[in-house]
Amino acid sequence: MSKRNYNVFFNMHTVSGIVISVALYIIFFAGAFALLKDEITAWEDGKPIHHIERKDIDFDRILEALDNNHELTGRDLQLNLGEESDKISISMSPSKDTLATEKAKQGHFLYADINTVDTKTYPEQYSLGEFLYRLHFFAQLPTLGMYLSGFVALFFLFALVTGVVVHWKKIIPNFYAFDPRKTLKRVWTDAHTALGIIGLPFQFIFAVTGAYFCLSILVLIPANTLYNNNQDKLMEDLRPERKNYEWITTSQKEIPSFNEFAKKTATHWDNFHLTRAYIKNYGGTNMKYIIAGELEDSERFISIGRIVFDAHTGNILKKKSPYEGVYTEDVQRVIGRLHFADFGGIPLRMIYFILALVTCFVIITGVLIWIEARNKKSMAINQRLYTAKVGHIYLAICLSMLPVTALAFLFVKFSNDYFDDKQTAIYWFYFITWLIAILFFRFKRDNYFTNKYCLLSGAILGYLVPVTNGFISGNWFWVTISQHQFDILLIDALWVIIASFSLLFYFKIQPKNNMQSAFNKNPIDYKNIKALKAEEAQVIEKKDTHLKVKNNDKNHLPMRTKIITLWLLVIFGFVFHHIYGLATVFFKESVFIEGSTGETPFWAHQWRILMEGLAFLFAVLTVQVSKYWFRWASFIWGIIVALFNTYHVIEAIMHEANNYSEIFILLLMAMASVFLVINLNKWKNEAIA
Amino acid sequence: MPANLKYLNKSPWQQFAKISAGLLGGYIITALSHMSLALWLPYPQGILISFIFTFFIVWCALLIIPFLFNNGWKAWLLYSGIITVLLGIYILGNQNNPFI
Repeated sequence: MSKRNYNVFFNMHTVSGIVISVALYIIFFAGAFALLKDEITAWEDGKPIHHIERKDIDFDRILEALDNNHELTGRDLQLNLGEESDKISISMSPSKDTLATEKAKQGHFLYADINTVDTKTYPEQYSLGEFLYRLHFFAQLPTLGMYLSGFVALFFLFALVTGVVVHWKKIIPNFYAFDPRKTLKRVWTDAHTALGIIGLPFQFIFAVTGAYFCLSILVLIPANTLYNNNQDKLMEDLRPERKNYEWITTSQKEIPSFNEFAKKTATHWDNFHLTRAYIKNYGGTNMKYIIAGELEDSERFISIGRIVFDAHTGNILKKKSPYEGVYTEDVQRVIGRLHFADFGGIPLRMIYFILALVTCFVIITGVLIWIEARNKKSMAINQRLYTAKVGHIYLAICLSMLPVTALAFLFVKFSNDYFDDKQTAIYWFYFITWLIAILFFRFKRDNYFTNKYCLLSGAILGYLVPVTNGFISGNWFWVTISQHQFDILLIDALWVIIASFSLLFYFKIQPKNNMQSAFNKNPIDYKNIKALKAEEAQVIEKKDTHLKVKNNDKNHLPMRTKIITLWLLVIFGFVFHHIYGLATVFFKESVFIEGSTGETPFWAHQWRILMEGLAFLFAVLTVQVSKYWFRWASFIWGIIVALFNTYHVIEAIMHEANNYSEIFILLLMAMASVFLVINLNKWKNEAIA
Repeated sequence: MPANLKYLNKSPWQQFAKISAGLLGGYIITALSHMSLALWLPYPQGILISFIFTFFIVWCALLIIPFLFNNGWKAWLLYSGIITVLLGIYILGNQNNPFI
């Protein structure tokens, strides 16, 4: 490989790696725990699990209770049976019957207890397991989070491929040369390569499957085009089990017992376990029961089996044997199995768990190499400060996840059954403690300290997890072992192991390791930053006077004039936009907005002040003020306005694509605000004269 | 240890050209090539579902290639050429589309 290509690959690896590193760390750390989602939920609940074989669940009782509360007639139901839990989740579509009541026309998603038949809504049943699972693809950010994590996965793939290219020649030597006694940076570099390669197949799987799960829309677009936008046919070809049947009319006959069909399906093949069921057109003349399951893992890797019954006659309409492979269905199952590790039981999930944490380590070492390599005496103080700051923030976010997660386990145990809306409670608790931890470590400005105390607090809190579980739920080790509640035991044991390793690392990391870091060899004197900057500015000025060239930029405008002009252009844009909005009055609509009372509603003021008023304010103030805080405030507001304007263009293109004049003005506004942000950024970086 | 800057093109327009060629151009090429394969090869449904494994791998490779060019706009030129050819193949194949 040519020298140039090597450096280009190296740069691609570094830049993509650093940009995604924090997000990727969160994905893998939360993802490791997400593998144990069901166990965490069981641990949190603290109640014994009955391990009822799925075919022995009394579905009829559950359906009867649901029918009483939600009027099932005309609905399609999907029952996710899970594996071990005492709760099954049920989603029901709105009723298709035209005569249905308003109540029956609402869809629901809820959990039903298979013993008590009690139901819980999603926020009530929410658990820390669910939270960590969702954090693992940033679902807490609606819509955006999913795509964000998808693109992180795509760029993770990019970083993997470029990383292998860059490190190719060093893989084997580094593997043998790995020696923790050497200087810190070498340890990190070698560990980064060695562990990166060990985890490579695992990471590759996650990059590819993760990208598919989050960005499946990008695969569906071409598929849809091939089907000429016939989505129903596409889904029927690829997901035959979800086929919809048209509603005809309500049947006068009694609802046939679902339990019998479930038993019939489960005993149709040996070692066949039910996983999922669909009830189509509940209570209709063409009511269907579709019951699906899989063989035991030891028998076949992929074994989707399914029987479609006509509920009233009991006839088998369609059957798919688990012993016979159908490529289009099996391939989708493979991707799920690989990503969720739901084969091979607990041992395999433990391997996945360890590999996920190893990946976290590879990510952290990558960040450490990056900040180490960029802290040299010869570098400008501003650049070094920037690198150091990025390092502090990144490590604060990543490393504090361990104690915060342990603390969240304690929180859910203490607050169990206290909050009705567990979802909100967990959100607040997790994100606020995390934020506090991040701010604390970030302003402590010491990566060694961050690492050490995250490990220590993680260890202490980790040991408290099984203890709290014992005190509050009575689930001590010996109790759960004797009652065969291994799901609950697993979480306790896991925390003991995590805490022990954290403690071990805590004692292993010695001040002498810290002394080797570039930040100790070339420390940044935070107390004298001003003096350092001034000193450097002088040096630069001296150089500048030697090289002073006349400014021959023909487009030159003084910075503040430029910024004021751009603010004004944005304001003009808003004004134009309003006039164009009024234009529909001339051509189409009546003057009054529907529901208007003669008074300007508060939201109108709010928007006008926020957008036009504030833009005007910044323009006016820029004439007079050029303080540092003001530049920052303008910069931040400029970014918000730019995002808003860009969003506005996209929205206009999507919703009123033929309002050309409006789109044109909106486009110009977006452009002006982008220029504004660029210039504000330059302005805020300018030295104050 | 960071990459040697003398080999990198730091111009923002060049960076924009390379990134956009990889992301947008790369996506279009990936989509069109997969669609053409599904149209021209036997077992169209099977090919279609295999997208879920190959799609992002191909896209990732196409993300990398523009960075190897000195001039990002040349990468766009190459990608536009490939897109045109693939579009032709797709339109030809679409005349007897097995999915409709």
